[in-house]
Amino acid sequence: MATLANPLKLLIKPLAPLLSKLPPMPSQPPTHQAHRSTLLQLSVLIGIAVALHFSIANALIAGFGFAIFILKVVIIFKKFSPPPKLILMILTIASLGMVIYVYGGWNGQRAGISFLILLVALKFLESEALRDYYVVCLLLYFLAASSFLFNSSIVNISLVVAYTIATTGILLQISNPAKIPLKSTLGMSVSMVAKALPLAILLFFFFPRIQGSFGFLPSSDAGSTATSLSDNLVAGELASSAFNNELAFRVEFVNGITPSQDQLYWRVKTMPMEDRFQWRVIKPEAKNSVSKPDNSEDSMPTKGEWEYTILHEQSTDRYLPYLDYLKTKSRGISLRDFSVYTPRLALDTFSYAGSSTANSFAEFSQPLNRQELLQISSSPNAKMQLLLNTWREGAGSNAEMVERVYDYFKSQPFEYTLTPRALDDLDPFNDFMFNSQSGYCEHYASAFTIIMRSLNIPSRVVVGYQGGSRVNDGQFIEVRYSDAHAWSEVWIDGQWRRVDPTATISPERINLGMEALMELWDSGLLGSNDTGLALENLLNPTGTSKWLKKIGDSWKSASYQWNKWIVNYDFNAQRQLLAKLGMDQHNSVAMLVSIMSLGGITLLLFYFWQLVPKPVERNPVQRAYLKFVHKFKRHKIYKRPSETPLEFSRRLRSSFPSNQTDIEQITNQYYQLRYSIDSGDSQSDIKQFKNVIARFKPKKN
Amino acid sequence: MHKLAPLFDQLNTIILGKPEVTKLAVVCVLARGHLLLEDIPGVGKTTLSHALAALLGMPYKRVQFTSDLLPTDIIGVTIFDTQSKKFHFKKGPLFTSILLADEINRATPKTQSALLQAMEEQNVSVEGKQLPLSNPFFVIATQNPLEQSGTFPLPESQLDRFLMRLSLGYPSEQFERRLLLGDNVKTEIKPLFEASEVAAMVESVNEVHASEAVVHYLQTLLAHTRSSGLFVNGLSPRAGLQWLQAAKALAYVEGRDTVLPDDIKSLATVTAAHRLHCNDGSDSIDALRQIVDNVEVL
Repeated sequence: MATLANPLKLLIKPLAPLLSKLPPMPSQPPTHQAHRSTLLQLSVLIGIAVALHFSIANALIAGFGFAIFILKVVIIFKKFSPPPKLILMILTIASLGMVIYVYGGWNGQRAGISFLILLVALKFLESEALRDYYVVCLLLYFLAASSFLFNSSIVNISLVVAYTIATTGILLQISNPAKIPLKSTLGMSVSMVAKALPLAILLFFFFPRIQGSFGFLPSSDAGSTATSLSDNLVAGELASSAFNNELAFRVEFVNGITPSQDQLYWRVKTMPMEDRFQWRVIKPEAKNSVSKPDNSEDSMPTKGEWEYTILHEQSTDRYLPYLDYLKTKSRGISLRDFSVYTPRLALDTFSYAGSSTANSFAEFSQPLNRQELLQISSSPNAKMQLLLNTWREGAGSNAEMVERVYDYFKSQPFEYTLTPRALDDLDPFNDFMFNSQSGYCEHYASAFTIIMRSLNIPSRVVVGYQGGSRVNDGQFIEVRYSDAHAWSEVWIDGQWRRVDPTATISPERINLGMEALMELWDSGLLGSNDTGLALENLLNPTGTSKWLKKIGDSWKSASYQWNKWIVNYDFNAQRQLLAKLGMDQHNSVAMLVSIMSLGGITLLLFYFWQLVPKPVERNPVQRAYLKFVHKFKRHKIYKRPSETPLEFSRRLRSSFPSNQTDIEQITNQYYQLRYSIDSGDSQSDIKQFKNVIARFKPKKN
Repeated sequence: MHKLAPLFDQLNTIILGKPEVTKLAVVCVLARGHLLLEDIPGVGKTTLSHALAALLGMPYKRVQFTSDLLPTDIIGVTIFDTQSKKFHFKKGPLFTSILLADEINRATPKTQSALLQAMEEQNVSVEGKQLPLSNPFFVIATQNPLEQSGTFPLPESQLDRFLMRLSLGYPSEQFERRLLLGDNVKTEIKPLFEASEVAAMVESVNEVHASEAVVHYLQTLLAHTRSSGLFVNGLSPRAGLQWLQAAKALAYVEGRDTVLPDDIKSLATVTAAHRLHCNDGSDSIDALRQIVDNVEVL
């Protein structure tokens, strides 16, 4: 034991004088009680946390947390003592059991957060002494930070900052025995948080980010709110997404070269498999579905191409949207059908770049699986057969047949609706073509593709997004789930061609976008005679609506920049930033770590350096006197700092009798020079004093 | 020879073996400060205060404080004169130069505060009129330690008005024997000074020089009492002023015209300890010494 303790002692010994200079520790731990009003404020904060929890997690757990919270509030109000340990233990075990019951284990963010919420409530319930409340406050900080797992919007971070300020204020109030007025508490905590903010920002950008995920990181749960386009296209289902205004992704075009609205076809997945008017994708597990070794990254985008970056919201979809027709991409694997597949799901928003061209890709053509692309389960009825025959008759080419069918859709009274009626279960295809004649894009794409296949033209349905709303005069485009769209692709003359029957049924949908269409739909003007006027108002807003649009655009823009630079700031973004700052890309993490530790050590040294007593300014008289004091060092006699010169001289007297008169004279002279009225006015006196001291020699008997 | 020497000679024959205490008592008076003598009964508090007042040749009155003492008992009372058919104010013992307040902490707070107002303001209000007290006006109060029963401890604000708190303590063996043998024969105490002479001495204390270096030392000490965290409250500026005045008086008594850091240092406990209360309830004298030992003086 002793051998172990000794090196430690040796290590601490030189630090001891420094450690003794540390700010005085309170002689006793604080014994005051937290004020009731402070506890009530704290309970408001916890109440908010628990209430917000309802929105992200199971109501059973949130309700249980709320019950515990209410119990504590009653205890505070009625000044009861906290419940006995046994009850607390039972409650803790119950919460643990509940989390396991609801989530089937610990794993996952939701389970973790739920358990954390329950623990905060339980700790709050148990709290009695000050340190308990300190722990509660620390847990609240942690809880506030954990909300970033679910939402990292500007609004959320503002809320978290406000929450942090409030928690800090409560910590301040709890730790102070006297009551501080709310206003000055707020002022103090705001200034503390403001002081911490620069450091937080610095750490955000420069704290080394690690690529990949830790094995122990909770994975995103299945129950997360992220949406995606379904892998099946069922008539009527896509229509319901028209009312889902959630953001899918944002696109920024490089150099501001933006395609026109009717060119904005965002391909996500193709669906070649038909089954009674329903379509589905072929899972890309099969090796042959993957395209030839993809070296498109090497090819530089040429003129007439659009370059863009996509900032995609969190999604559970394994297909990534790219603009038709894809040329280069930075994320995912190209499949044979030109859709892009990613084997790894992102936990949060993610960004990638791509470039596309307006020309279809002849060079991408590969041997077709004709059988697959011609298979249909919906059989045309007699009426349909007649139509098919008229289209086949005399058609010089497949292209002409496509033209004829497209014209047929144009000429017939087909209607575009966001609320299509359910089709006949047994024969939906013919029911749609001849009875209902009203539907959403997926109806037209399905019907058109089935007709194509009946005419022996290989074709498929493509599902993705069309259009998007331009924010801030086209600075970027927001694509929402309501922009989801389905269209057809037919194989003509050795290449795939896009045919969108919806464009002929509802040109507004394609030319103006879904947003405009929804406005018309909401005002009931879709398809009426007033459409023109309504569109005019919509496209050139005046007065208040103009201002609202401007404010809305600014907010969208700020939110986009936030997502682009902050939320999406990851390992790669950090590497790019460091590269810009001139740091080697390859060992940038090692570099960062060393810079951080260097900074930390510097700060620590600076702190200790500040504790080192600074040399005090001495005037010449003092310096001369200190020389005199110094002369006794040889005899192991030192003047204690708190000793007055007179006391020192008295102490010397016994040890140095032969010097007695000299010592007295020097002390008197020093007092004279330093403390009397005419002190310091005569340089000659000081000089003489110095001489006396220079001549002085202590003699020990 | 200093003109105060006979005073000390006399005092030290009355109070045997306590030259330091008698010197500080004189210093306190010369610094125009009120003196609090705190000790157990029977060690000579009252004797010292009597002797001091008498030797200085100033008019003095003595009031024995008891729990039923009323403010009017020290200030005075307005009575109706049946002969002249007029009210007139009969001055109480307060209207004197030196008031000996014996066992001040036996009186109720009401009476204590009547006295303490007079101490601070040098006048008293009677029926709405401000009556000035004599100039100079000193209070020499004695009190028993707080642990004694039947006492009303003085609050901090009132303790702060006393320049010094002294205690005599038991006499040493040698002096106690002389005391028991009756060496300090009580002779008639004759005043050594005229009242004007005392006033002149008090005046000349103001002329003692306190250099910036000394003030700096004092200021550092004051700051330490506030920042050390040892005390509930640090010393007030008034305490600092009184401390410096006492240091000047000490320098004067010792025949110097400048204040030395030694003056400040030696007066630390007597001028400051009674104004300070330790956070942890321990003795403020020890804590004060600790602070003095931590402040550099050069």
